[in-house]
Order: sequence, then C-alpha cells, then structure tokens
Amino acid sequence: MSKDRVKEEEVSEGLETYGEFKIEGKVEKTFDNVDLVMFRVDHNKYGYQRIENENIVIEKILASDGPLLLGIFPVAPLNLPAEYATHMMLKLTSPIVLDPKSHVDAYLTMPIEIAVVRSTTTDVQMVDVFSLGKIKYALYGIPENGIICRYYETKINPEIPKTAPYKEAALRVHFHNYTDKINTISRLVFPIKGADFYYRKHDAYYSDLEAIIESSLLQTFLRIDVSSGKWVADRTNMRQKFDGKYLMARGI
Amino acid sequence: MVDLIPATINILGTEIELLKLLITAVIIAVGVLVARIARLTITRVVGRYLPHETAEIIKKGVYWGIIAIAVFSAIGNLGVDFTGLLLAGGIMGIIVGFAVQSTVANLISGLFLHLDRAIRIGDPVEVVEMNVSGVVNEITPFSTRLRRFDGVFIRIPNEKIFTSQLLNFFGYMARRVEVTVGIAYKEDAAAVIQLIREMAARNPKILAEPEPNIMVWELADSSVNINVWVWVPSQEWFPVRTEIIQQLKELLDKEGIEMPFPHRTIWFGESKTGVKDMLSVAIREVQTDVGEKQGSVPENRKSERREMSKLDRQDAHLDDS
Repeated sequence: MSKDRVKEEEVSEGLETYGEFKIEGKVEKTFDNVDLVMFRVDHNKYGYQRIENENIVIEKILASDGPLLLGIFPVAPLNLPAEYATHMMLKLTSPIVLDPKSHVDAYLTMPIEIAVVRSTTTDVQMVDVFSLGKIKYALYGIPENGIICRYYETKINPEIPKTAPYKEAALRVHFHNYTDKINTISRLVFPIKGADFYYRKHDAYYSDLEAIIESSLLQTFLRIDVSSGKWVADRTNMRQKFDGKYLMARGI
Repeated sequence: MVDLIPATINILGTEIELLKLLITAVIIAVGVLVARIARLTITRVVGRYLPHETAEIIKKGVYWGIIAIAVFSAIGNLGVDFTGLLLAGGIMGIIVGFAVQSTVANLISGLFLHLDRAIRIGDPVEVVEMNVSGVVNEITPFSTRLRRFDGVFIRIPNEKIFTSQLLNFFGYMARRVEVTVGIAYKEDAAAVIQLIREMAARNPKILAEPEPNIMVWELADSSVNINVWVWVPSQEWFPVRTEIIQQLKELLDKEGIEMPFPHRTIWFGESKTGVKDMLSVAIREVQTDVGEKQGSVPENRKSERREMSKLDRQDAHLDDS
C-alpha cells in the first residue's frame, strides 16, 4: 500500500510547535491565545508556565539534573474537563450510505488536546494538557450499558482535509460493507485511550480506521479496527497500553 | 537400630504409634499444601471474573475449609472417636447456630452482595429503609462501611443492606439532571428555550447524546415553568446540577428575562346590587379617613359612606333579631 504523502504546500508555514524541545535558556510556543513558556531557573530547575490572555493559568517547577527535554504533542482528547471516556464518537454530519459488498476510503477530522510531556527512559508524565476546541461528550448506547465517548461532529472528505490547527487531527477511514444489504453509517465509535498520534509542524494525524460492517442472524454491527497510520510524519510515544478494537453493537 | 526408634510415643498419657503420628503429620501437610494450591488457583481463575472482595471471601472459605477437613482426617487417623464429639458438636451446633444466626446471615448476605454487584467501593449509595446515604468505603464479610456525605463513619450489617432497597448513584454510566426554571408570562418561552439550549451546548459536562430536553412544562400560578433535562456522566451529576442553576440565573439576568416570585392578583368584586364587598369598603374607609383629615373628601364618596353605614346598620339589626 502506498503511503499517503502530505504535500509540502498543505503544511502551513511557521515554526514547529509540536515536537520535543531541549530547554537551555527560554523557549516560547504559541497556540492561538495560549502561550507556553519554558525556562531555566537554575542549574537543575526549570520553570513551566501556561499563559492564557496574559494570565498565568498553570505554573510548575521541573527538576532535572541534566538538560530538560519537554515534548509538546497532540494527544487523545480525553483529559478535559475530567477523564470520563476511553472512546471517541465521530458523528457524521452527512451519513455515508454503503452499497452491498462495497469498499470506500474517506477522510475525517477529530479533536485533539495538546499535552506538554516530560519523558525519561523509564516514564512518561503529562506536565500539562489543554484544549483549544469545544469539548463535548456523548453516551453511546443506553445508560444501563452504554459507554461515555468524546463527541465530535465531522464530515466525510474525499481527500486529506485542511484541519483547524491545534484543534483537529485528520484520519483516514476504510469503509467495508461485507453484507448483502445497503447500510448507512452515521457515527463511528473507536478506542483512543492510550493511542499515539502523528504530527508534522502544527498538523496532527490519527491512525487509520478499518470500519467493517458485518451482520449476524440478529443484527448488523460495525467493527472498528485502529491500524497504524501511513502518514509521513513523526509519531508520539506516550508508552501507554492501547487496544484498537471495538464492536459497535449498539447502533451505527 | 530398631531399638533406637520406639514404636509408640506417649502424648499426654496416651500411647500413640509413631507411624500413625507420621501419617497424621503428612495428612495435615498435604491438606495445607492442597489448601494453598486451591487458594492460588482461585486467585488466578476466579479473581479475574469476580470483584476483589468476593474473591477474597471465597479464597479464605476454601482455604480454611480444606485445612479443617485435613485436621479432622488427621485426628481421626490417630484413633480419636468422633462419635461423642459429633453428638456434643451437634447439640453445640444448634446452640451456636441460634447464637450466631445473625452473624451467619451477614456473612452470606456479604457474599451475595459481592455476587450481586449492586455496589462497588467508591459508589455513593442510599439505603432507603435506613434513611442513610454515603460513599461505600469497604465491604467486609459481615458489614458494609459507608462514609456519610458529612464525613461520619457508618457500619451497616450486610444483611440489612442486602434486604433493603438500595439506590446506587453511580450504578449506570449517565444520569439525568432535572432543573425547573420559571419565567414571567410576558416572556418569549421559545426564545428562552433556545438560550438555555445554547447554554447546555457550551457546557462540556453535559452530554450531546442523549440530547438535552428543554421544554415548557407547566403554566403555573405565577410563572411559565421550563424544565431543563440534561444527561451527564454519573459522577458529574451534583456539580452539573449546581452549575446549571447558577448559569440559568446568570443567563436570565443577563438577557433581562424576568423570573417572577410567587405573587397573587387580588380583585375586589361587586355584589349583584353593585355594592362593593366589605374588604373593599374597609380599604376605602381608610382612604377616605385620610382624605377627611386632609379635608378633601369628595361629595360622592361621602354619600357612598353614608349608604354603606346604612347597610351595616341593617345587617346589625338582622343579626340582633
């Protein structure tokens, strides 16, 4: 399978905002109205500040005997305002109707959060996490046995969409309808807790989804497999367990 | 060589064969070994599917059960006659059974409580019959320990918990917050509903699905009551409820929408003859007294007062007769 190549012209100009940065003097990164300031206090202490609208919202002191490396990465949008969910629900503003035995590729967008990460050889810890987009959750299924998911409305794109910087990531979905019936998909629910993202300059990408419609005697369901993305981009390494399979048995 | 190892050994005045003693020790050792293997197996197999507390109870029960069987078998091997013991034990069993009836009931209830999975550690619950609510801290074999919301420790026997109606506020993933807000009759209810809908959409804790349900619920005495029903993650029910009430107040204040307090319009009616009722007259009396003092009572009011005095006198006459 050929790799999806993000064209150079599609990558917005500007300084790199995602990535791992060595703090020697002072490093500042701007994300819309949020400024991150990282600076050296003395030989083994470093300061971190998140400034929003000229007010310091978060301030921390980080101790490190060696030079401090801080990563700023797109992460799964599950941390704010609290950890309620492990899955993402993408509601398609225009549902996709699949013919029997058909296969379609499409691109979607999904929300992200931005995390400041301190990683050592043995551990990864989030120093700070924030979101620039609207945060919303939804219940997939019924209260008795449903799951809380991060909720986002998106539309089907035939090509890689232009994402809102620092708010969205792009992802590719391979739709497969293995049944003999026409099926309509209006939402996708898939795991994201512990998942890594891809990033390039200030654009973010998620892994590919295999959305497979299957049917049993009683019902039709959608099986989602999260597989490695083919993006030409760096990949975060949050070193978390990730199970990328989910069966949407409570409606598609 | 043979003489060095005696065939019997005297324990508390009883001669016991050394071989039997050895077999007894082996039986106990094998029993302990089997009990430990069983405990380990339960930890590995049952522990995956059952809550930790349930697995612990089963583990201890099986472990001590096997050891008890091993010990009795070993003692039996030594030739101890259990017939008398069984008879005495049977009678004692009945006595002890009555004595520890509630304890056993609590133990079994505790086990069923675990299997039932109605509550978990950390769940906020209400035991309806006992009118007690709090957060589950621990479920022991005999009792359930709660931290009441005001921080007081409560120990409730498992039997009472198991037989009571129990509300678990974290039983399901999501719960509905219900708030009613009253707006004045002059306000545009549809516009207010739209404003509240937008407010709900801005709150990240309010779930997008199931959709918030905001509707005119009642045309009440003093206000048009609007119900706000929104779903939230169960753990956010209380914070969101308080947030919504405050946000509703701020929103309606900002938009200049009146939230009326209960009020009543009093209408002073007239009789068929066109005579005002007594309350109306009394109020008017006060008004005219003030007017007289100020020397400004109109002539028609004076004649009206005279007429009312006449009627009052007639009423008094009728009452006397």
